[in-house]
Amino acid sequence: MRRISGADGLSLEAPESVLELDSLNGPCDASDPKRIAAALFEQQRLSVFRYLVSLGLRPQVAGEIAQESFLRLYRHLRARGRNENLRGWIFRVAHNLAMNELRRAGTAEAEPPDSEVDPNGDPEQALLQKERIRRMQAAISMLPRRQQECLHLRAEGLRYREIAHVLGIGISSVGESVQRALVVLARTCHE
Amino acid sequence: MSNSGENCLTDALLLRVLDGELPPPQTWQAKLHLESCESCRARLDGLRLVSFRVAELHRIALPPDVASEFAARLDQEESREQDGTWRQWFARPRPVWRQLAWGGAIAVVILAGLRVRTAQPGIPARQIVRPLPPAVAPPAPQQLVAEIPAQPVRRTRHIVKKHASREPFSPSARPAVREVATPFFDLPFSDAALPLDQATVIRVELPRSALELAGLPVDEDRRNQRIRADLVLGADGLARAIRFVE
Repeated sequence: MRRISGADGLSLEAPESVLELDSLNGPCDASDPKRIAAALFEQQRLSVFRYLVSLGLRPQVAGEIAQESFLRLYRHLRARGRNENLRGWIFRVAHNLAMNELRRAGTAEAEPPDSEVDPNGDPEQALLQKERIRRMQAAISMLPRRQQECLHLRAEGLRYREIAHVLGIGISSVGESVQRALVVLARTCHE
Repeated sequence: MSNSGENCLTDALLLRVLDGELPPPQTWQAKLHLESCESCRARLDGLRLVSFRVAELHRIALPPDVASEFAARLDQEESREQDGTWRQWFARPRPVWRQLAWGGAIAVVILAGLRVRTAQPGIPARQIVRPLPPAVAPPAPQQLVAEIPAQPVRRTRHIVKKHASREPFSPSARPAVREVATPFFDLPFSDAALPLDQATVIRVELPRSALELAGLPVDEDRRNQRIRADLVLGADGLARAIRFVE
C-alpha cells in the first residue's frame, strides 16, 4: 500500500497497482516486442490477474488467461499492430477472454478468493476486516454486471477512457456506472 | 450521498475530483469549494472510503510460477515466430497490384520452365560434348558437316556416343532421315571454367541469321528462315555452346 495525493489535494492509501501506470498509456517503441511484452507483464500481471479473479474466474484459470493476454500482446506487436494504450489493450483482451471462458462455463466459475489480510495485525481486527470484505463482496455481486466491471477496473487503476476502451462503452457511461455503484456500496459501508 | 446545499458539488463531480478526471480549471474550482464546505468534504471522504474498501477486495496473491511459465511461453512463441517467417511473409496482406505482379512473375517463370522442358529434355552434357576447345576458328561449313543418325524428336537428347554404343543405328528399324550438324561453337560470354557436369543440351529453332553467332556465312535470301540448333546450357542456365543441325 502506498499513500498518494489525489487531484483534490487530499491523500489516500491505495494498492500499488493504482499508481504509476500512466507511462504505459503513450505510444511505445515497438522495435523489441518481446522486451515490451515482458516489461508489461512484469508491471501489469498482478492487476490483470486480480481483475480476472474479480470477474469470477478461478485463480488458476485467471493466471492462464492473463498469460495468454500478454502472449497476444506480443503477437500484436510483432504484427506491427498499434502500440498505443497498451494497458487498455491488455485489459480488453483479458476481459474478452474471460467473458468467453465464463460463457463456456455457464456462469461465474468460483467464489471470490479470500483477500489478503495483515497477518501481523490484531486478530480481532483481522476478523472484522474479513467480515467487512465478505459484506463488500456480497454487495458488489448484487450490482449490475457493467457497474461491477467498471468498479473493478477502476480499482486496478485504469482511467475512465481506458475503462471505456476495455468495455467498449462511452467515457460518460463509465463515470455514471462508477458513481451509481459507489452510492450503493456506501450504504453497505455505513451499515 | 447526495447534495446538501445549492452550491454543493454533485456526487458525479466529487467522483471525478477524486479520480482526477476533471480538467484543471474545474478541479481548481472544486477544491476552492471543498475548502469551505464541510458537507462536500465529508461526502468526498465517503467516496474515498468506499473506493478503499473495493480496493481491499483486490488484495489477491498471484499463483506462484506464473512469471517463469510466461517467460518460457514467450521464448517458445518467439522461436515459433522465427520458424514461421516465410509463412508470415506469404500470409502478410499486400495490395492487389502487388499480388498481381507477384502472380504474373511466378506464372512467367513457370511457363518459361515448361517451354524449355517441352522443347527438349536435358541430358548430361558431359556425355555429349567434351570440354570445348578454346577459341575455335570457324572452318568452312562444308568441312564441318558431320553425319549423325536421324532420331525422333524425343531421342535427340540422347548422347551421340552412348547412343552409338548401346543402340546401333538400324536403317531397317527407322526411316533413314539424314541430319547434318556442325561442331559445337563456344558462345560469347560463356565461362569455360564452369563445370559441364550438370549442363543440358536442348534443341531449339532459330532464324538462320543466328549462324553469324558462330561466324558462319548466311545466305541473305534465307536469312529469316528457321534452322534447328542444339544449345548447351550450363547448370547456371547460361548457353555455353551451339551447333546447327539440318
